Amino acid sequence: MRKERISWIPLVISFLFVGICSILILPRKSEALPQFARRYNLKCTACHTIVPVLNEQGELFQRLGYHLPPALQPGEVPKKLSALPEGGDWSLSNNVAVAVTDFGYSAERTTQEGTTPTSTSAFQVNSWNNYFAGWIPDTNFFYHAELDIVTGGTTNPDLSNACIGYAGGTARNSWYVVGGREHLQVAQGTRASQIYSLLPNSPLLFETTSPTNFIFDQSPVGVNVGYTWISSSYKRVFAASAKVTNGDNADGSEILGPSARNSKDFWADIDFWYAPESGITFVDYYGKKDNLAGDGVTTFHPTIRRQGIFANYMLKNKVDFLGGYMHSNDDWLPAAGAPPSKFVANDFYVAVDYYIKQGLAVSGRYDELRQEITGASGVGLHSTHDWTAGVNQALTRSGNIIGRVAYSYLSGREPVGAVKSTDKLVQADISFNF
Amino acid sequence: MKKSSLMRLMYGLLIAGLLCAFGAAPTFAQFRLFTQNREDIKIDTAGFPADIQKGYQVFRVKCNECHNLDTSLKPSMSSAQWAFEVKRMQNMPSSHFNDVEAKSILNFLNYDELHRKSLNKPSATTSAGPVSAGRQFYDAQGCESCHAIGGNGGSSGPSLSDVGKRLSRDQISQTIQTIRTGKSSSMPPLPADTSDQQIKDLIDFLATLKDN
Repeated sequence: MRKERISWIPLVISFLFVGICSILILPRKSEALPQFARRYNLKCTACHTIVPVLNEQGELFQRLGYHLPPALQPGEVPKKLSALPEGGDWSLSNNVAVAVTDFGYSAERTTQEGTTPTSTSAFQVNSWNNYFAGWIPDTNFFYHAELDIVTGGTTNPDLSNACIGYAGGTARNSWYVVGGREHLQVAQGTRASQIYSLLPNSPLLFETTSPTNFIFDQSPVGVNVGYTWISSSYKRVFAASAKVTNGDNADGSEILGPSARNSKDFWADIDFWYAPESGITFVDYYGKKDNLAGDGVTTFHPTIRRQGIFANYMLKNKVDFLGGYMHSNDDWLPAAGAPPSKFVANDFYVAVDYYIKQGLAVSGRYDELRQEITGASGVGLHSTHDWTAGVNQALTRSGNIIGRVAYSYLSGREPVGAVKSTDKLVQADISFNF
Repeated sequence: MKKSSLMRLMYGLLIAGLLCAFGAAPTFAQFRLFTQNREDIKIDTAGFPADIQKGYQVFRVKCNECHNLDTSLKPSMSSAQWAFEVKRMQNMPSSHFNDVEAKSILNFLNYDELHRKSLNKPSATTSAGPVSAGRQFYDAQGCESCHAIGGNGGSSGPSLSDVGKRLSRDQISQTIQTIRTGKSSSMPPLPADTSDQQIKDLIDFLATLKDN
């Protein structure tokens, strides 16, 4: 029997075709910077202290409908947002980032009461995200879509952002309306209230799911409105935002089956930048969920409440002191027929980021979760502590490639069964932002 | 070519075309050189006065946060225009420099303008022939730091490659007059001693830009 020979000619021709098309279609300018930096021909560090942490310009960039905050000189009449320079011409390369990725090595040892300790180590792609975000020229409309391909080392495609917005007003008094799917906590407050961190993980109070499976880092669908007032020379900035979103399940997944509920989530934040790069944010969240009870079988409808205060102070643009406190108060049901109780938590974190020079920072953070289930099913107040330290170094002038090494030590008891666990984690990773 | 190979080729071209349209082009574009990662201009400040050297150090630290130093070392501007630009930068968020540092940066930029850039200014003729008076004025004012013509120049302002096609001569004239009188808050004003002839030359030059 004759072996069938594979013809490589079609494949070679296809690749040549791709190459030729790329040369013809490529924009004339090689302003190959991620997204917004590309549009304005700026470094990543124009809007980030070190990617992904936003500086004040980056925090305000989003609030102004993806317009670069202009100079606001005393006595100057502020321009309308529609009159602000749009930067480069609209092009795919000014709107698309196809490789915002993080790749690294981690070694972890986990010890849990009653089980055998486990050790793991791995090279892995920690995250790979695509972004399509920008503006519609000569309008005040802007859009943001985020396709997450890999999250937490797991390939799990998810359209975590898909929204369109409209911004109006002037550079000093502006407002926005955004509709669609957005991260619940979407970089609209001051630095300490955002999930972005120089360390590999966000503060525990943002990242740890409650017994009701609720976590801030979810993406419900809804409407987000905001207002921003800016004084001359950006000496003071005041902002407020409010959201009404679908009542997703507590873990952020969509409610797929029929539900007796018709509830919505409400979010509000008030933000005040009182000094350069320094601000304070108040957050209030209320939601009503479909959720599984502690027995893993019974469905109940907990109300979930969060109130938080977050603040940072940046000393001489060198040392950033950050802290946050969040109070949780959720309805809790251990099992069918059991008396209802509450999950109550008082969580906080403190952190310091020391920017030795542009693009190089050492960071340290202490997280503490103090949680309990009240009532007869409770096992008392328990806490979890986490110490994390790390070093970030930008590997390019523009700051679009970052190297990082970090170590964290976590220890504590969870509030449902009071099981103690410890976790030691070493991570070394490189993030690429193209 | 056999029918099966031809079909494979057709499918491959179709997929390649779709990739180009929706993914490959922006992907390849983004992997080209990042202009903000590269600095072409190197200057030797060893012979500069001590206070100017200090100003250069402040300039290197502060101005480097948002854009590479070529953005400021390349264009040529008058003293009034540099003062306008430094003041504008100082009043943006995350600028991180105070009045003392702004003065130090401005002193360096003015010194650099007089001692380095003046030696490199283009002559009135090029290998292609005489350069128009309007083009000379355009270059002298440093317009290319923000505007591009034929792909050369900055991108923080609109491209002027086809401004002569997009706008009528009257519209161009109106815009230049607004800039001349300092009423445009996004554009540095023209020097106070700009003559009517220089304005006419500039308008004449811009009106010829039709991206041919």
